[in-house]
Amino acid sequence: MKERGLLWLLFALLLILPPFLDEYLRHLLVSSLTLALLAVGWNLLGGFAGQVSFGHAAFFGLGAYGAGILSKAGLDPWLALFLGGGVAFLGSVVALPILRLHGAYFALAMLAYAEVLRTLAILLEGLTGGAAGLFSIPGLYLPGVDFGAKLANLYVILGLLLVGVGVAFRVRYGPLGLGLAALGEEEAARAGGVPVFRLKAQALFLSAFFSGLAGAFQALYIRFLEPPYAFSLEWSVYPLVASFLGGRGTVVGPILGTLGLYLGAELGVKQVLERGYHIATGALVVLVVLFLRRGVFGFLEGRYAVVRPRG
Amino acid sequence: MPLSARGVSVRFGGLLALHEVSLTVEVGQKVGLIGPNGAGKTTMFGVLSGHLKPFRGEVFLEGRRITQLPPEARARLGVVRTFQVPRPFPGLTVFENVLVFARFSGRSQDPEASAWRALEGVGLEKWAEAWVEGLNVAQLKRLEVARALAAEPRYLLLDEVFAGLNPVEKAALAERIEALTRDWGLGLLLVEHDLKTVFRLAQWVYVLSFGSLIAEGPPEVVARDPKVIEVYTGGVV
Repeated sequence: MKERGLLWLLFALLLILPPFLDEYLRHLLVSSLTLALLAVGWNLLGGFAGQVSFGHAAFFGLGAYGAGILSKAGLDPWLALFLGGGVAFLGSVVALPILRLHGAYFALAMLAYAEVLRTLAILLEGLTGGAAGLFSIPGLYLPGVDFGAKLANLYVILGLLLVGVGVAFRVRYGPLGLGLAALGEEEAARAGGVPVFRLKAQALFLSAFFSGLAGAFQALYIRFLEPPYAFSLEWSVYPLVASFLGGRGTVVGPILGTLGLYLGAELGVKQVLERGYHIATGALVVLVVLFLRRGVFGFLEGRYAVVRPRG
Repeated sequence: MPLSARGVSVRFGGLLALHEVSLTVEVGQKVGLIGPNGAGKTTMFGVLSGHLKPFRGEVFLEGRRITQLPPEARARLGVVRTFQVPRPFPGLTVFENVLVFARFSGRSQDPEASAWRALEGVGLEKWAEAWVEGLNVAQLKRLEVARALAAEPRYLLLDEVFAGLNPVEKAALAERIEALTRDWGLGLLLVEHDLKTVFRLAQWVYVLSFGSLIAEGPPEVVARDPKVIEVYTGGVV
Protein backbone atom coordinates (compact mmCIF):
# COMPACT_ATOMS: atom_id res chain seq x y z
CA MET A 1 0.00 0.00 0.00
CA LYS A 2 1.76 3.09 -1.24
CA GLU A 3 0.67 6.30 0.41
CA ARG A 4 1.35 8.49 -2.59
CA GLY A 5 -0.83 6.33 -4.86
CA LEU A 6 -3.67 6.35 -2.37
CA LEU A 7 -3.50 10.13 -2.13
CA TRP A 8 -3.64 10.57 -5.91
CA LEU A 9 -6.61 8.22 -6.11
CA LEU A 10 -8.41 10.11 -3.37
CA PHE A 11 -7.83 13.49 -4.96
CA ALA A 12 -8.82 12.23 -8.41
CA LEU A 13 -12.12 10.98 -6.97
CA LEU A 14 -12.75 14.23 -5.15
CA LEU A 15 -12.02 16.16 -8.33
CA ILE A 16 -14.23 14.10 -10.63
CA LEU A 17 -17.21 13.23 -8.40
CA PRO A 18 -18.65 16.58 -7.21
CA PRO A 19 -20.41 17.67 -10.45
CA PHE A 20 -22.44 14.46 -10.23
CA LEU A 21 -23.54 15.00 -6.63
CA ASP A 22 -26.50 16.96 -5.28
CA GLU A 23 -26.13 20.17 -3.25
CA TYR A 24 -26.56 18.35 0.05
CA LEU A 25 -23.77 15.87 -0.63
CA ARG A 26 -21.56 18.70 -1.90
CA HIS A 27 -22.21 20.56 1.33
CA LEU A 28 -21.24 17.47 3.32
CA LEU A 29 -18.05 17.23 1.30
CA VAL A 30 -17.18 20.90 1.85
CA SER A 31 -17.59 20.44 5.60
CA SER A 32 -15.65 17.20 5.71
CA LEU A 33 -12.80 18.55 3.58
CA THR A 34 -12.56 21.60 5.86
CA LEU A 35 -12.27 19.23 8.80
CA ALA A 36 -9.75 17.16 6.82
CA LEU A 37 -7.56 20.21 6.29
CA LEU A 38 -7.77 20.91 10.02
CA ALA A 39 -6.81 17.29 10.71
CA VAL A 40 -3.88 17.46 8.28
CA GLY A 41 -2.76 20.58 10.16
CA TRP A 42 -3.23 18.93 13.56
CA ASN A 43 -1.30 15.86 12.42
CA LEU A 44 1.78 17.92 11.49
CA LEU A 45 2.25 18.52 15.21
CA GLY A 46 0.22 15.76 16.87
CA GLY A 47 1.20 13.03 14.43
CA PHE A 48 4.63 13.72 12.99
CA ALA A 49 6.03 15.50 16.05
CA GLY A 50 4.07 13.39 18.56
CA GLN A 51 2.86 16.48 20.44
CA VAL A 52 -0.80 15.64 20.97
CA SER A 53 -2.74 18.89 21.21
CA PHE A 54 -6.20 19.26 22.75
CA GLY A 55 -6.41 22.89 21.69
CA HIS A 56 -6.24 23.29 17.93
CA ALA A 57 -9.50 25.21 18.14
CA ALA A 58 -7.13 28.05 19.05
CA PHE A 59 -5.61 28.07 15.56
CA PHE A 60 -8.86 27.30 13.79
CA GLY A 61 -10.54 30.20 15.61
CA LEU A 62 -7.64 32.57 15.02
CA GLY A 63 -7.70 31.74 11.31
CA ALA A 64 -11.46 32.19 11.18
CA TYR A 65 -11.45 35.53 13.00
CA GLY A 66 -8.35 36.69 11.15
CA ALA A 67 -9.95 36.09 7.76
CA GLY A 68 -13.37 37.31 8.89
CA ILE A 69 -12.14 40.58 10.33
CA LEU A 70 -9.80 41.33 7.41
CA SER A 71 -12.40 40.50 4.79
CA LYS A 72 -14.95 42.64 6.59
CA ALA A 73 -12.45 45.47 6.74
CA GLY A 74 -12.45 45.51 2.95
CA LEU A 75 -9.44 43.36 2.18
CA ASP A 76 -9.73 41.00 -0.80
CA PRO A 77 -11.29 37.80 0.62
CA TRP A 78 -8.68 35.65 -1.11
CA LEU A 79 -5.91 37.58 0.57
CA ALA A 80 -7.87 37.45 3.84
CA LEU A 81 -8.06 33.66 3.48
CA PHE A 82 -4.29 33.22 3.49
CA LEU A 83 -3.72 35.99 6.02
CA GLY A 84 -6.10 34.05 8.25
CA GLY A 85 -3.58 31.23 8.18
CA GLY A 86 -0.95 33.86 8.93
CA VAL A 87 -2.84 35.05 12.01
CA ALA A 88 -2.94 31.46 13.29
CA PHE A 89 0.79 31.23 12.64
CA LEU A 90 1.31 34.34 14.79
CA GLY A 91 -0.84 32.68 17.43
CA SER A 92 1.52 29.70 17.39
CA VAL A 93 4.50 31.99 17.98
CA VAL A 94 2.77 33.16 21.16
CA ALA A 95 2.16 29.50 22.07
CA LEU A 96 5.84 28.54 21.69
CA PRO A 97 6.55 28.30 25.45
CA ILE A 98 3.90 25.56 25.66
CA LEU A 99 6.21 23.36 23.58
CA ARG A 100 8.49 23.11 26.62
CA LEU A 101 5.81 20.94 28.21
CA HIS A 102 5.35 17.24 27.56
CA GLY A 103 2.48 14.78 27.24
CA ALA A 104 -0.66 15.58 29.18
CA TYR A 105 0.74 18.92 30.35
CA PHE A 106 1.24 20.03 26.78
CA ALA A 107 -2.22 18.83 25.75
CA LEU A 108 -3.90 20.63 28.63
CA ALA A 109 -1.95 23.86 28.18
CA MET A 110 -3.10 23.92 24.55
CA LEU A 111 -6.67 23.38 25.69
CA ALA A 112 -6.31 26.33 28.06
CA TYR A 113 -4.81 28.45 25.29
CA ALA A 114 -7.89 27.90 23.11
CA GLU A 115 -10.12 28.81 26.04
CA VAL A 116 -8.19 32.02 26.66
CA LEU A 117 -8.59 32.98 23.02
CA ARG A 118 -12.31 32.22 23.11
CA THR A 119 -12.69 34.52 26.09
CA LEU A 120 -10.64 37.21 24.37
CA ALA A 121 -12.86 36.95 21.31
CA ILE A 122 -15.83 37.72 23.54
CA LEU A 123 -14.10 40.58 25.37
CA LEU A 124 -12.51 42.35 22.39
CA GLU A 125 -15.89 43.54 21.17
CA GLY A 126 -14.56 46.35 19.00
CA LEU A 127 -12.52 43.92 16.94
CA THR A 128 -14.53 40.71 16.96
CA GLY A 129 -18.09 41.88 17.51
CA GLY A 130 -17.96 40.18 20.92
CA ALA A 131 -20.56 37.64 21.94
CA ALA A 132 -22.98 38.91 19.31
CA GLY A 133 -20.60 37.72 16.63
CA LEU A 134 -19.31 38.89 13.29
CA PHE A 135 -22.00 39.15 10.60
CA SER A 136 -22.06 39.45 6.81
CA ILE A 137 -18.45 38.55 6.22
CA PRO A 138 -17.75 39.10 2.50
CA GLY A 139 -17.12 35.63 1.07
CA LEU A 140 -14.80 34.45 -1.68
CA TYR A 141 -15.42 35.98 -5.06
CA LEU A 142 -14.39 35.31 -8.65
CA PRO A 143 -16.00 36.90 -11.71
CA GLY A 144 -18.39 34.48 -13.35
CA VAL A 145 -18.25 31.94 -10.51
CA ASP A 146 -21.20 31.40 -8.20
CA PHE A 147 -19.80 31.07 -4.69
CA GLY A 148 -23.34 30.92 -3.37
CA ALA A 149 -23.41 27.38 -4.74
CA LYS A 150 -21.44 24.60 -3.10
CA LEU A 151 -19.42 23.46 -6.08
CA ALA A 152 -17.02 26.43 -6.26
CA ASN A 153 -16.42 26.26 -2.51
CA LEU A 154 -15.80 22.55 -2.77
CA TYR A 155 -13.03 23.04 -5.30
CA VAL A 156 -11.46 25.83 -3.25
CA ILE A 157 -11.25 23.70 -0.11
CA LEU A 158 -10.02 20.78 -2.21
CA GLY A 159 -7.23 22.99 -3.54
CA LEU A 160 -6.31 24.13 -0.03
CA LEU A 161 -6.29 20.53 1.16
CA LEU A 162 -4.02 19.60 -1.74
CA VAL A 163 -1.54 22.26 -0.64
CA GLY A 164 -1.72 21.03 2.95
CA VAL A 165 -1.20 17.43 1.88
CA GLY A 166 1.72 18.46 -0.35
CA VAL A 167 3.42 20.10 2.63
CA ALA A 168 2.61 17.17 4.93
CA PHE A 169 4.05 14.76 2.38
CA ARG A 170 7.27 16.73 2.09
CA VAL A 171 7.52 16.88 5.87
CA ARG A 172 6.93 13.18 6.40
CA TYR A 173 9.34 11.95 3.77
CA GLY A 174 11.93 14.71 4.15
CA PRO A 175 14.64 15.50 6.70
CA LEU A 176 12.18 17.33 8.98
CA GLY A 177 10.01 14.22 9.21
CA LEU A 178 13.03 12.08 10.03
CA GLY A 179 13.99 14.43 12.86
CA LEU A 180 10.41 14.63 14.12
CA ALA A 181 10.12 10.83 14.08
CA ALA A 182 13.12 10.69 16.40
CA LEU A 183 11.32 12.80 19.03
CA GLY A 184 9.82 9.61 20.43
CA GLU A 185 13.18 9.27 22.22
CA GLU A 186 14.07 12.86 22.94
CA GLU A 187 17.27 12.27 24.93
CA ALA A 188 18.66 9.96 22.29
CA ALA A 189 17.65 12.38 19.56
CA ARG A 190 19.55 15.18 21.27
CA ALA A 191 22.58 12.92 21.61
CA GLY A 192 22.51 12.61 17.83
CA GLY A 193 22.42 16.36 17.28
CA VAL A 194 18.67 16.71 16.66
CA PRO A 195 17.64 20.26 17.59
CA VAL A 196 14.52 19.06 19.38
CA PHE A 197 12.93 22.40 20.21
CA ARG A 198 13.58 23.90 16.78
CA LEU A 199 11.97 20.97 14.98
CA LYS A 200 8.96 21.01 17.28
CA ALA A 201 8.59 24.74 16.66
CA GLN A 202 8.68 24.22 12.89
CA ALA A 203 6.00 21.54 13.19
CA LEU A 204 3.90 23.83 15.37
CA PHE A 205 4.15 26.75 12.91
CA LEU A 206 3.10 24.63 9.94
CA SER A 207 0.40 22.95 11.97
CA ALA A 208 -1.04 26.27 13.12
CA PHE A 209 -0.97 27.75 9.62
CA PHE A 210 -2.96 24.93 8.01
CA SER A 211 -5.39 24.66 10.92
CA GLY A 212 -5.88 28.42 10.65
CA LEU A 213 -6.38 28.13 6.92
CA ALA A 214 -9.21 25.67 7.57
CA GLY A 215 -10.77 28.16 9.98
CA ALA A 216 -10.31 31.02 7.52
CA PHE A 217 -12.03 29.07 4.79
CA GLN A 218 -14.88 28.19 7.13
CA ALA A 219 -15.38 31.86 8.05
CA LEU A 220 -15.55 32.91 4.39
CA TYR A 221 -17.82 29.97 3.58
CA ILE A 222 -20.46 30.41 6.28
CA ARG A 223 -19.83 34.20 6.52
CA PHE A 224 -20.73 34.42 10.16
CA LEU A 225 -18.67 33.90 13.34
CA GLU A 226 -19.23 33.89 17.05
CA PRO A 227 -16.71 32.95 19.75
CA PRO A 228 -18.31 29.73 21.03
CA TYR A 229 -18.46 28.48 17.45
CA ALA A 230 -15.04 29.62 16.18
CA PHE A 231 -13.21 28.31 19.27
CA SER A 232 -15.51 25.32 19.82
CA LEU A 233 -14.00 22.26 21.49
CA GLU A 234 -15.14 20.34 18.44
CA TRP A 235 -12.32 21.87 16.36
CA SER A 236 -9.87 20.48 18.90
CA VAL A 237 -11.39 17.04 19.30
CA TYR A 238 -12.37 16.24 15.72
CA PRO A 239 -8.92 16.38 14.10
CA LEU A 240 -7.45 14.47 17.03
CA VAL A 241 -9.99 11.65 16.85
CA ALA A 242 -9.89 11.56 13.04
CA SER A 243 -6.09 11.31 13.04
CA PHE A 244 -6.04 8.52 15.62
CA LEU A 245 -8.70 6.73 13.62
CA GLY A 246 -7.10 7.06 10.20
CA GLY A 247 -3.46 6.82 11.22
CA ARG A 248 -1.65 9.49 13.19
CA GLY A 249 1.71 10.35 11.71
CA THR A 250 0.77 9.28 8.19
CA VAL A 251 -0.21 11.78 5.49
CA VAL A 252 -3.40 10.15 4.28
CA GLY A 253 -4.58 8.84 7.66
CA PRO A 254 -6.12 12.06 9.00
CA ILE A 255 -8.02 12.57 5.73
CA LEU A 256 -9.36 9.03 5.67
CA GLY A 257 -10.23 9.37 9.35
CA THR A 258 -12.14 12.59 8.80
CA LEU A 259 -14.02 11.41 5.74
CA GLY A 260 -14.87 8.12 7.41
CA LEU A 261 -15.97 9.73 10.65
CA TYR A 262 -17.91 12.63 9.16
CA LEU A 263 -19.50 11.00 6.13
CA GLY A 264 -20.01 7.80 8.09
CA ALA A 265 -21.93 9.71 10.74
CA GLU A 266 -23.95 11.88 8.35
CA LEU A 267 -24.80 9.28 5.75
CA GLY A 268 -24.72 6.13 7.83
CA VAL A 269 -25.14 6.19 11.56
CA LYS A 270 -27.40 9.27 11.69
CA GLN A 271 -29.84 7.63 9.30
CA VAL A 272 -30.29 4.82 11.78
CA LEU A 273 -29.68 6.57 15.08
CA GLU A 274 -30.94 10.09 14.66
CA ARG A 275 -30.11 10.99 18.23
CA GLY A 276 -27.20 9.69 20.19
CA TYR A 277 -25.17 8.79 17.11
CA HIS A 278 -22.13 9.97 19.04
CA ILE A 279 -22.39 6.75 21.03
CA ALA A 280 -21.64 4.76 17.88
CA THR A 281 -18.75 7.02 16.90
CA GLY A 282 -17.41 6.84 20.44
CA ALA A 283 -17.54 3.06 20.43
CA LEU A 284 -15.71 3.00 17.09
CA VAL A 285 -12.96 5.23 18.45
CA VAL A 286 -12.56 3.03 21.52
CA LEU A 287 -12.25 -0.05 19.31
CA VAL A 288 -9.65 1.57 17.09
CA VAL A 289 -7.58 2.77 20.03
CA LEU A 290 -7.76 -0.69 21.58
CA PHE A 291 -7.09 -2.83 18.52
CA LEU A 292 -5.50 -0.62 15.88
CA ARG A 293 -3.04 1.48 17.82
CA ARG A 294 -1.61 3.02 14.67
CA GLY A 295 -4.98 3.78 13.12
CA VAL A 296 -6.46 2.18 10.03
CA PHE A 297 -3.86 3.34 7.52
CA GLY A 298 -1.03 3.00 10.02
CA PHE A 299 -2.10 -0.60 10.54
CA LEU A 300 -2.11 -1.34 6.81
CA GLU A 301 1.23 0.35 6.38
CA GLY A 302 2.80 -1.65 9.18
CA ARG A 303 1.19 -4.84 7.95
CA TYR A 304 2.59 -4.46 4.46
CA ALA A 305 5.83 -3.10 5.91
CA VAL A 306 6.51 -0.29 3.52
CA VAL A 307 10.00 0.95 4.02
CA ARG A 308 9.86 4.61 3.41
CA PRO A 309 12.28 6.55 1.28
CA ARG A 310 13.95 9.46 2.97
CA GLY A 311 14.89 12.39 0.78
CA MET B 1 43.72 18.12 21.86
CA PRO B 2 41.51 16.17 24.23
CA LEU B 3 38.03 15.96 25.62
CA SER B 4 38.39 16.52 29.33
CA ALA B 5 36.50 17.05 32.54
CA ARG B 6 38.15 19.07 35.30
CA GLY B 7 37.08 18.97 38.92
CA VAL B 8 33.52 17.96 38.08
CA SER B 9 31.00 17.61 40.90
CA VAL B 10 27.37 16.61 40.46
CA ARG B 11 24.70 16.57 43.13
CA PHE B 12 21.29 14.87 42.99
CA GLY B 13 19.42 16.44 45.88
CA GLY B 14 21.38 15.46 48.96
CA LEU B 15 23.50 12.89 47.15
CA LEU B 16 26.94 13.83 45.89
CA ALA B 17 27.08 11.68 42.77
CA LEU B 18 30.46 12.95 41.61
CA HIS B 19 33.10 14.68 43.67
CA GLU B 20 35.79 16.69 41.87
CA VAL B 21 36.46 14.16 39.17
CA SER B 22 38.87 14.92 36.34
CA LEU B 23 39.52 12.78 33.32
CA THR B 24 40.88 13.13 29.81
CA VAL B 25 40.34 11.32 26.51
CA GLU B 26 42.71 12.02 23.62
CA VAL B 27 41.86 11.45 19.96
CA GLY B 28 42.98 7.92 19.04
CA GLN B 29 43.06 6.85 22.68
CA LYS B 30 40.91 4.15 24.29
CA VAL B 31 39.99 5.01 27.83
CA GLY B 32 38.03 2.90 30.28
CA LEU B 33 35.88 4.17 33.14
CA ILE B 34 35.06 1.50 35.70
CA GLY B 35 33.65 1.24 39.17
CA PRO B 36 31.04 -0.68 41.12
CA ASN B 37 27.31 0.00 40.84
CA GLY B 38 26.42 3.55 41.76
CA ALA B 39 30.02 4.77 41.51
CA GLY B 40 29.02 7.62 39.20
CA LYS B 41 30.11 6.25 35.82
CA THR B 42 26.92 7.02 33.95
CA THR B 43 26.68 10.39 35.71
CA MET B 44 30.15 11.24 34.42
CA PHE B 45 28.95 10.19 31.01
CA GLY B 46 25.99 12.53 31.22
CA VAL B 47 28.30 15.39 32.15
CA LEU B 48 30.53 14.75 29.14
CA SER B 49 27.61 14.37 26.72
CA GLY B 50 25.76 17.41 28.06
CA HIS B 51 22.74 15.53 29.39
CA LEU B 52 23.76 16.59 32.92
CA LYS B 53 25.20 19.88 34.13
CA PRO B 54 27.76 19.78 36.95
CA PHE B 55 27.36 22.22 39.81
CA ARG B 56 31.13 22.60 40.00
CA GLY B 57 33.90 21.95 37.49
CA GLU B 58 34.20 22.33 33.74
CA VAL B 59 34.19 20.26 30.57
CA PHE B 60 36.60 21.18 27.79
CA LEU B 61 36.72 20.11 24.19
CA GLU B 62 40.01 20.88 22.51
CA GLY B 63 40.58 23.93 24.66
CA ARG B 64 37.02 25.21 24.40
CA ARG B 65 34.81 25.27 27.47
CA ILE B 66 31.61 23.33 26.65
CA THR B 67 30.18 22.82 30.16
CA GLN B 68 26.96 24.68 29.36
CA LEU B 69 26.48 23.34 25.82
CA PRO B 70 23.42 21.09 25.33
CA PRO B 71 23.88 17.53 24.01
CA GLU B 72 22.79 18.38 20.47
CA ALA B 73 25.48 21.07 20.21
CA ARG B 74 28.12 18.67 21.56
CA ALA B 75 27.08 16.05 19.03
CA ARG B 76 27.68 18.58 16.29
CA LEU B 77 31.14 19.17 17.73
CA GLY B 78 31.85 15.46 17.56
CA VAL B 79 31.13 14.24 21.09
CA VAL B 80 28.59 11.44 20.72
CA ARG B 81 27.32 8.96 23.28
CA THR B 82 25.31 5.75 23.44
CA PHE B 83 22.81 4.82 26.16
CA GLN B 84 23.14 1.99 28.63
CA VAL B 85 19.54 0.95 28.00
CA PRO B 86 19.19 1.13 24.20
CA ARG B 87 16.88 3.89 23.08
CA PRO B 88 15.96 3.18 19.47
CA PHE B 89 13.58 5.57 17.71
CA PRO B 90 10.33 3.60 17.48
CA GLY B 91 8.46 3.54 14.19
CA LEU B 92 11.64 3.90 12.16
CA THR B 93 13.70 1.29 10.36
CA VAL B 94 17.19 0.37 11.48
CA PHE B 95 18.65 2.42 8.64
CA GLU B 96 16.49 5.43 9.47
CA ASN B 97 17.54 5.19 13.11
CA VAL B 98 21.15 5.49 12.07
CA LEU B 99 20.39 8.16 9.47
CA VAL B 100 18.97 10.45 12.17
CA PHE B 101 22.42 10.68 13.76
CA ALA B 102 24.21 10.93 10.41
CA ARG B 103 22.02 13.77 9.23
CA PHE B 104 21.49 15.84 12.36
CA SER B 105 25.01 15.75 13.72
CA GLY B 106 25.81 17.84 10.65
CA ARG B 107 29.28 16.24 10.54
CA SER B 108 28.83 14.05 7.51
CA GLN B 109 29.21 15.23 3.91
CA ASP B 110 27.04 12.33 2.80
CA PRO B 111 24.69 11.22 5.61
CA GLU B 112 23.35 8.18 3.76
CA ALA B 113 26.86 6.91 3.08
CA SER B 114 27.86 7.52 6.69
CA ALA B 115 24.80 5.63 7.87
CA TRP B 116 25.66 2.64 5.67
CA ARG B 117 29.28 2.70 6.75
CA ALA B 118 28.21 2.73 10.40
CA LEU B 119 25.80 -0.16 9.88
CA GLU B 120 28.50 -2.16 8.15
CA GLY B 121 30.90 -1.22 10.93
CA VAL B 122 28.78 -3.06 13.48
CA GLY B 123 27.53 -5.73 11.09
CA LEU B 124 23.89 -4.65 10.99
CA GLU B 125 23.68 -3.89 7.27
CA LYS B 126 21.48 -6.91 6.60
CA TRP B 127 18.91 -5.48 9.00
CA ALA B 128 18.87 -2.00 7.50
CA GLU B 129 15.32 -2.27 6.18
CA ALA B 130 13.88 -3.94 9.26
CA TRP B 131 11.68 -2.10 11.72
CA VAL B 132 13.66 -1.38 14.83
CA GLU B 133 10.98 -3.03 17.00
CA GLY B 134 12.09 -6.40 15.61
CA LEU B 135 15.67 -6.31 16.93
CA ASN B 136 16.95 -8.37 19.86
CA VAL B 137 19.03 -6.99 22.72
CA ALA B 138 22.40 -7.71 21.12
CA GLN B 139 21.31 -6.05 17.90
CA LEU B 140 19.95 -3.04 19.76
CA LYS B 141 23.32 -2.63 21.49
CA ARG B 142 25.02 -2.67 18.12
CA LEU B 143 22.46 -0.21 16.80
CA GLU B 144 23.41 2.16 19.62
CA VAL B 145 27.03 1.96 18.49
CA ALA B 146 26.09 2.32 14.81
CA ARG B 147 24.02 5.44 15.47
CA ALA B 148 26.87 7.05 17.35
CA LEU B 149 29.34 6.13 14.61
CA ALA B 150 27.05 7.54 11.92
CA ALA B 151 27.41 10.95 13.54
CA GLU B 152 31.11 10.79 12.54
CA PRO B 153 32.31 11.47 16.09
CA ARG B 154 35.78 12.39 17.17
CA TYR B 155 34.97 11.22 20.68
CA LEU B 156 32.80 8.18 21.10
CA LEU B 157 31.31 7.57 24.53
CA LEU B 158 30.07 4.00 24.96
CA ASP B 159 27.92 3.30 27.99
CA GLU B 160 27.92 -0.41 28.88
CA VAL B 161 27.46 -1.65 25.36
CA PHE B 162 28.64 -5.10 26.42
CA ALA B 163 26.10 -5.61 29.19
CA GLY B 164 23.54 -8.30 28.45
CA LEU B 165 25.60 -9.88 25.68
CA ASN B 166 26.83 -13.46 25.77
CA PRO B 167 30.60 -14.10 25.60
CA VAL B 168 30.58 -14.72 21.83
CA GLU B 169 28.64 -11.52 21.12
CA LYS B 170 30.87 -9.66 23.55
CA ALA B 171 34.05 -10.78 21.83
CA ALA B 172 32.64 -9.94 18.40
CA LEU B 173 31.57 -6.45 19.43
CA ALA B 174 34.89 -5.81 21.21
CA GLU B 175 36.74 -6.76 18.07
CA ARG B 176 34.63 -4.40 15.99
CA ILE B 177 35.05 -1.52 18.41
CA GLU B 178 38.78 -2.05 18.48
CA ALA B 179 38.93 -2.01 14.68
CA LEU B 180 36.68 1.03 14.46
CA THR B 181 38.68 3.16 16.86
CA ARG B 182 41.83 2.21 15.02
CA ASP B 183 40.44 2.80 11.52
CA TRP B 184 38.39 5.87 12.33
CA GLY B 185 40.95 7.46 14.66
CA LEU B 186 38.46 8.07 17.46
CA GLY B 187 38.88 8.95 21.07
CA LEU B 188 36.97 6.27 22.94
CA LEU B 189 35.55 6.39 26.44
CA LEU B 190 34.23 3.07 27.59
CA VAL B 191 32.04 2.82 30.66
CA GLU B 192 31.84 -0.81 31.54
CA HIS B 193 30.94 -3.26 34.22
CA ASP B 194 32.85 -6.08 32.67
CA LEU B 195 36.45 -5.55 33.81
CA LYS B 196 37.90 -8.16 31.49
CA THR B 197 36.63 -6.35 28.41
CA VAL B 198 37.84 -2.97 29.65
CA PHE B 199 41.29 -4.24 30.56
CA ARG B 200 41.54 -5.84 27.17
CA LEU B 201 40.44 -2.80 25.17
CA ALA B 202 41.54 0.26 27.11
CA GLN B 203 44.97 1.87 27.16
CA TRP B 204 44.16 3.95 30.22
CA VAL B 205 41.64 3.26 32.96
CA TYR B 206 39.92 5.50 35.50
CA VAL B 207 38.30 3.95 38.56
CA LEU B 208 35.39 5.60 40.34
CA SER B 209 34.03 4.68 43.74
CA PHE B 210 31.24 6.53 45.53
CA GLY B 211 31.63 9.45 43.14
CA SER B 212 35.36 9.92 43.64
CA LEU B 213 38.27 8.94 41.47
CA ILE B 214 40.31 6.36 43.40
CA ALA B 215 42.79 5.27 40.75
CA GLU B 216 43.95 5.82 37.19
CA GLY B 217 46.62 4.38 34.98
CA PRO B 218 47.37 1.67 32.43
CA PRO B 219 45.11 -1.37 32.89
CA GLU B 220 47.85 -3.67 34.19
CA VAL B 221 48.72 -1.17 36.92
CA VAL B 222 45.12 -0.39 37.86
CA ALA B 223 44.29 -4.10 38.03
CA ARG B 224 46.88 -4.56 40.78
CA ASP B 225 46.00 -1.41 42.70
CA PRO B 226 44.96 -2.48 46.24
CA LYS B 227 42.29 0.28 46.42
CA VAL B 228 40.71 -1.00 43.23
CA ILE B 229 40.83 -4.61 44.40
CA GLU B 230 39.22 -3.56 47.65
CA VAL B 231 36.23 -1.77 46.08
CA TYR B 232 35.57 -4.71 43.80
CA THR B 233 36.01 -7.46 46.38
CA GLY B 234 34.93 -5.61 49.50
CA GLY B 235 38.38 -6.42 50.95
CA VAL B 236 37.70 -10.15 50.99
CA VAL B 237 40.59 -11.04 48.71
